[in-house]
Amino acid sequence: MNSYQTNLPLKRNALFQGFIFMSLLTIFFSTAAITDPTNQLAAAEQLRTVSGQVLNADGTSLPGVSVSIRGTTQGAITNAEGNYTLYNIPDNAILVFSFVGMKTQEIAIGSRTVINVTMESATIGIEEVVAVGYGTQRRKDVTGAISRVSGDDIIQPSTLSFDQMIQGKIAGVTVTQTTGAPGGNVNVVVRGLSSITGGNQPLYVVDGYPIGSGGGGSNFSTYGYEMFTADRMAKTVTNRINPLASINPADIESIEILKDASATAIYGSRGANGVVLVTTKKGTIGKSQINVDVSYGIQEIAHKLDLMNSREYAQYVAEGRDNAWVYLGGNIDDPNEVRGGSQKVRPEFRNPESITVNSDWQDVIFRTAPVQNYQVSSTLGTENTKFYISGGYFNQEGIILTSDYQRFSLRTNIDSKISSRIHVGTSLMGSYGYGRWPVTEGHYGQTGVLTMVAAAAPTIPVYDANGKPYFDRQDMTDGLGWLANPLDVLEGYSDKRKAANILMNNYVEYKIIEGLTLRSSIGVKYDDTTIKLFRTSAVPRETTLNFPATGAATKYETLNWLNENTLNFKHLFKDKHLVDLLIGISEQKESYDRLSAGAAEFPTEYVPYISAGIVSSGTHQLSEWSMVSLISRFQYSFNDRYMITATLRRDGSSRFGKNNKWGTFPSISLGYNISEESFMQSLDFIQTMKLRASYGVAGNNQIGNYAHIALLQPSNYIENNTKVIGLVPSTLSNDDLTWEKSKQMNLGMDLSLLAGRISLNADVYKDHKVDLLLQAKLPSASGFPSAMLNVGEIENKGIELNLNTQNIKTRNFMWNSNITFSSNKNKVLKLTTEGERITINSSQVAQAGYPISSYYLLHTTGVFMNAQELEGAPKIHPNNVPGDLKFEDYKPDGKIDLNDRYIVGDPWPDFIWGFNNSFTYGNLTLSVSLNGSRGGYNLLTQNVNSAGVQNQIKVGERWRSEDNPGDGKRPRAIRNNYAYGFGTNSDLNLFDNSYTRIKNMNLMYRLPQNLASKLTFSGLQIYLDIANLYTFTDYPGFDPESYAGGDNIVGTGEDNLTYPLSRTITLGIKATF
Amino acid sequence: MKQKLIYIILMFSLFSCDDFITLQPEDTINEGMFFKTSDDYETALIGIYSGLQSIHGGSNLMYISELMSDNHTIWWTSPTTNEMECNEANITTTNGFVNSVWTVCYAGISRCNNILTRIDQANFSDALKSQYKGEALFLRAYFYFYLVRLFGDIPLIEVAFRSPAEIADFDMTRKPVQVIYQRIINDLKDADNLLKNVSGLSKSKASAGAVKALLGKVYLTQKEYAAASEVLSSVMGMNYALLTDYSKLFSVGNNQLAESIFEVNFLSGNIGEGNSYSTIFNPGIFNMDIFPGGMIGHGTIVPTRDFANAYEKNDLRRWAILDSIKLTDGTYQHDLGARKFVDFTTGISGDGGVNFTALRYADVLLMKAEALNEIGFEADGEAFDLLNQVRSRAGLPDKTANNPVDSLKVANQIDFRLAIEIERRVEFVFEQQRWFDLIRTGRALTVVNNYFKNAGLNFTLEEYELLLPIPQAERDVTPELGQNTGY
Repeated sequence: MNSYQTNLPLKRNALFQGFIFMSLLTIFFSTAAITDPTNQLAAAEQLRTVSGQVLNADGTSLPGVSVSIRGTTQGAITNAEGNYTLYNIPDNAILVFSFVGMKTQEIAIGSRTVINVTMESATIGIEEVVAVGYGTQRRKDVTGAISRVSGDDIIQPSTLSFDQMIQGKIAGVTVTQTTGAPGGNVNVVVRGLSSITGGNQPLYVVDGYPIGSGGGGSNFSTYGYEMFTADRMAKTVTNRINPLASINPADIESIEILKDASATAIYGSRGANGVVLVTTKKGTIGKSQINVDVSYGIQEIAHKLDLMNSREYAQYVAEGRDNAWVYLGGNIDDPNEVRGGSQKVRPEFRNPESITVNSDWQDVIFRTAPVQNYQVSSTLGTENTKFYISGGYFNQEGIILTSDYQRFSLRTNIDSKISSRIHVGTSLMGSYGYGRWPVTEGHYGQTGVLTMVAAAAPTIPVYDANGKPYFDRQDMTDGLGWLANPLDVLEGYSDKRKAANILMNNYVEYKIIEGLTLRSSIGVKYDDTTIKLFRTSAVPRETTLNFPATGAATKYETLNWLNENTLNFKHLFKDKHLVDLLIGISEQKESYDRLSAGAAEFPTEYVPYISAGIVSSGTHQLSEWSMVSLISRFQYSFNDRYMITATLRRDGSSRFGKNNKWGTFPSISLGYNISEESFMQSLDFIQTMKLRASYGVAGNNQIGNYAHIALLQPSNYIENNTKVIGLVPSTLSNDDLTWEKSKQMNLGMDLSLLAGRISLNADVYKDHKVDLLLQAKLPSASGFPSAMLNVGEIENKGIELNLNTQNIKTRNFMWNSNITFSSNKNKVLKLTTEGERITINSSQVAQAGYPISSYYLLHTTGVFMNAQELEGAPKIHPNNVPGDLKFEDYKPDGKIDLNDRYIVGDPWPDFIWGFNNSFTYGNLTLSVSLNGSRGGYNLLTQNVNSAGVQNQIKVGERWRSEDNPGDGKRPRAIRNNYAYGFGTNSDLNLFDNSYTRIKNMNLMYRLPQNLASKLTFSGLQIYLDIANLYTFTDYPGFDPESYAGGDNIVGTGEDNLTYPLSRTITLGIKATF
Repeated sequence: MKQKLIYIILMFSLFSCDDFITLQPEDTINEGMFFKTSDDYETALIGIYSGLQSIHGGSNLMYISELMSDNHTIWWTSPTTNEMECNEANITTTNGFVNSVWTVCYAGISRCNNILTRIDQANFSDALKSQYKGEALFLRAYFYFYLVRLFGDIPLIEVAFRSPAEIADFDMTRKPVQVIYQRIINDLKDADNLLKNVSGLSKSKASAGAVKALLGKVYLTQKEYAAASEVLSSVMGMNYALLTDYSKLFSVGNNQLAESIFEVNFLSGNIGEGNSYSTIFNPGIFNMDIFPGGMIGHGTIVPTRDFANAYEKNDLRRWAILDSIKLTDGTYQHDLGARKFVDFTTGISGDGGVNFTALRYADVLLMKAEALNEIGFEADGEAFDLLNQVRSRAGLPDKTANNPVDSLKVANQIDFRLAIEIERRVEFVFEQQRWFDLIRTGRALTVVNNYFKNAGLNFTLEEYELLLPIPQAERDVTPELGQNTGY
């Protein structure tokens, strides 16, 4: 055992912290419970026995229903006949009947001794209230496209943030987990890509507070490049922590996703990418309840790369080097002495059978790692004041050595009635997370550990004779995909980050007259992040060993404040006319402040902080935005049948040019509840049938803060051996710069059949994005190669289906399922000039007529099998021989060059789907979630290049000779990239990334109530949860969702190997007392 | 209570909206606040000089001017398409170096225009204004001179753009070569007037000497030999001299040397101000042991065997190249590398601190010799003397009209041209002169194709390739640019 594979001190430390934390919380909540005012009331009441039967809606008896007395630990479970009996009940008690999949009912017993109850299915959800932004609506009044998912339905104990959990649960929402790094990035896209230059993430609103666009996590694409100078380290602005990780998923009551413009227009210039409303749990009236949820999981890598073994590798290297030597005019039988360095073949590689070392480098950096999650929450409240208090501790060690993330979180939500007219409340959230990020992504020359382990020759041993990480420069000389031992890199590079987040929002509501409410809120969000970077001289810079150590420290804070004042009038006239009017004003401002310093020339490397070196670089960045908005909404519903909602928002923003500072965002939507019509009443298998139609305009302001102002940037020179600062214009000014606008039309239908056993929500939409902000190409001769202009247009069209069914419902067994299906077609309609291609990266472009980020590549048509095929064929190089790649001469001129590229595909799936099931048998519940994606493509950029250097992912059989031509697709190995075309961008390594994933499986056992009560719990559940159980895919990379560009969603599709996902098995206990 | 609450809420709501949403960046300078004081202009000028680091520092022009010639080839195993196109004289319209040269030169021109169009309105001393204007004019001419030689007809821009709309309204069509040259010559003449009385300028900045030397080169290229000869003579009257030690000119510490007329400065120390000569001029051999920390070459522009053989026996300038590369095991690999411009003190790629000699006295001497020879061959005349000054510093015997040794005999005008060509090739290797020399003298096709043939390489340089293609990316934006014939 070596020191790299264990991290015992850390583990113990984490366990200890968890323990202390839990203890403190328990003490806190116990105290709260003791002082609960409702506690003393129950004692002197008259007691009696109550019994009854619980039935299903179809009249069959319902066993296993929990019947409890609100505010006490007392309760029972219905037996096989659905009967229950409760003893010693006070007559002011309220019985709570609850059952999975059913609506919980609360019934005051009054003077009765027999209470029979018919349970109703909760899946219809038609009566539920939905958050719509600046208020709520009854589900049946909703006319926009809004999806809701309840917090309890998504919870996955081994998962840090809620964005990962909603994958596959909501139609129209694409969630991509691009990296498995603890605390890492997740991308959420609502209804297709909106923007080429601006952000594509939706707006997140937590309890009414718009916190920003999410994302901002983990762009790893240039990882490794910044870590070799103090200056670069100090100035690196890449973020690693997913900002949504600050929200504890256990606190979430519900998530609403506003999808169409009629729903999002109320968020004006920030609504175009969709809006995610997160509502946290509130206190309820009754005796305090304490919920504890503790889980412990084990993670392991879900899928390893299928790499060559030693013998395959040796053959491949020998072939590649022989071929390169022959290309240079040599003879294949020439000995090493006459060959150049990169054409020499190690003697043992000529005889692969003799090679005994067969290192699996992936096993060297991957480990099984624990993940722990502790949650405590309490709800308590009286008629006047309600509390929700919670605390959580999450600790995840990564499956790659040295990586980890921990989060502490606290929340307090208080709502209080000061008088019958004045309500005040606060929600207070604090979280503190910290972790370490290894240098996982990036080219192996930049010590990206994943490509290092994929590239390193399996013929190199992992440890030397002394048990130290092995390194021999000769292997590097021999070009065996090896520049350092990955273990030295993991140990030598340290990227530690911590983030503290506080969000506090206070409100006061004043009921002026019945139905007319003035609400005013003021909130502050403060985020503080510290980054400590250090690289020891053990991490080589490309081939330079002992590169002097560098370090940096960065601290940045974001202060955001919000004041909102709304006036709401809501009244039901004559029991038929429901009117809901809202007007308001909102002001928000954010300031970002970043300080950093970098140091080098560390005399020793014992202290990994800049204080131990010579501080030589630093920077101070400031950035602000502000906006002020006028909000209005009118809702009218006649007789629950005809509904209309109209919204109008005006936003003024600091981000836009002085001629376009203000924008107006209107929307209108109509609803028609056909099922309420009298002629529908005879069709009693239809419970609900509602048609919806909407049109609206929302905006996207994610373009950075000062895009309309001409800026200068430093460009330095040397005079008299001293660096002198120069300034050059970096951008042009544009007073007309304005919002990207999304004009969206939506048609929808909500249907509920067979007593709610089947419910369907279907939507079709067309979204026309105009005034897209593009970094439009200008003639470089102007000195400005590009400028930000509002010129582009994009269209998204799609279908979304959400189907809930109760498939089986017998006395003992129930199977409910939910299916989501979304298909979106994205198309660029217009760019700056006709036929323009905007380069997204080296392989992807945006071009009118095609989806954003389409692959623009040479098309390979196989391999030249023999000399005849080469005869007269268009070639990429005059010296092509059999075994080299054939390309399509797309621009037919008899030669192959970059002008033969064309659009060969795109990364976007044809459709995505989710299939979520819950099976209940007595006290056992099994939930299984599957999700998948079909028809997208990824370009795998690492370890599939035939260059005869790095170890390769086995993606096919290469051409070796005319007699052994392989699969006809993969070219021969040759240690010389250019001449044979695989140095050129082609679609050779474009792979279908379709997959079906068993995303989560959860088996829960609810202890029988009487047993739980004996153990003094009012409820006790034990569960086994398996996350990311298995992925069915032909994709050869770690994961089909892998993408190193993080939240830069337009670059999706280039997979240069990212932190792989883990499979996690978690055991947990949930107790209520 | 009620009223108080409403007042409180109203207080929060009554911000002045437009002020609230008007924000300026605080940590960067924006155009509105700049171009006022003399310091601003000096800072803007530094920004222009900084562009010289990127064209000469080993990122783009170096590939076109050296790799396309017979002087250099590639010696690493994974060359990019851009590199190979240069090496095989097969440039396409999407070549990244071509695009980059275009973009960087025009960015430099735009920075010059920013100064030239604003400085008259600024409020500081006329003496400083003259100096800054002179520098900006020299630099504008410097960039245009590269562009016109590489691309032929090109857009001519003398205004400063402030918004996308102004750019859209501008005539971006290409102007004939003669018009561009006229602009260059006028700029240089103006610069000469403005700078002739300014003394004490560092050699990393434009000076009267630099202006004149460049003007001489422009005249020579334009085949205006008398004018060239005259202006070059005036440079010779200034305070420049050949350095005794050739190697000192291209090694660490080559600052402000007597031979230097205009130099592009770099500084090592991992502060982002270095050049990449050290790695690109040396082959990509993994176990080489010539740099600290085991840094290896990048091998993208290494000398050809053909070039190594071009040195005469005992030429001291052979110092510029390495004949073999020391390996970590103490042995040597027989591959060609470089000493010239190479910083052996740095183990960081892209962090070399040797300055680039953009214009130097030896060039003036050989240009003058070339001009004189074109005006009229004069056996053992002044031109011979100039040529032999350079040869003598290299430790080589004089060439004369009637030398008994064949290789030292220069009998007529044609021989003299060849003698200049040979001399310039070895004297200026790595100095981005070879391609332009061959183009100027009309010898490119012959020389490069002979080199390909002799090296057994299956490539050809064709006549149309003497001009680079207009980058496709530019034509996508401005189709009216058209394309040079052949591409």
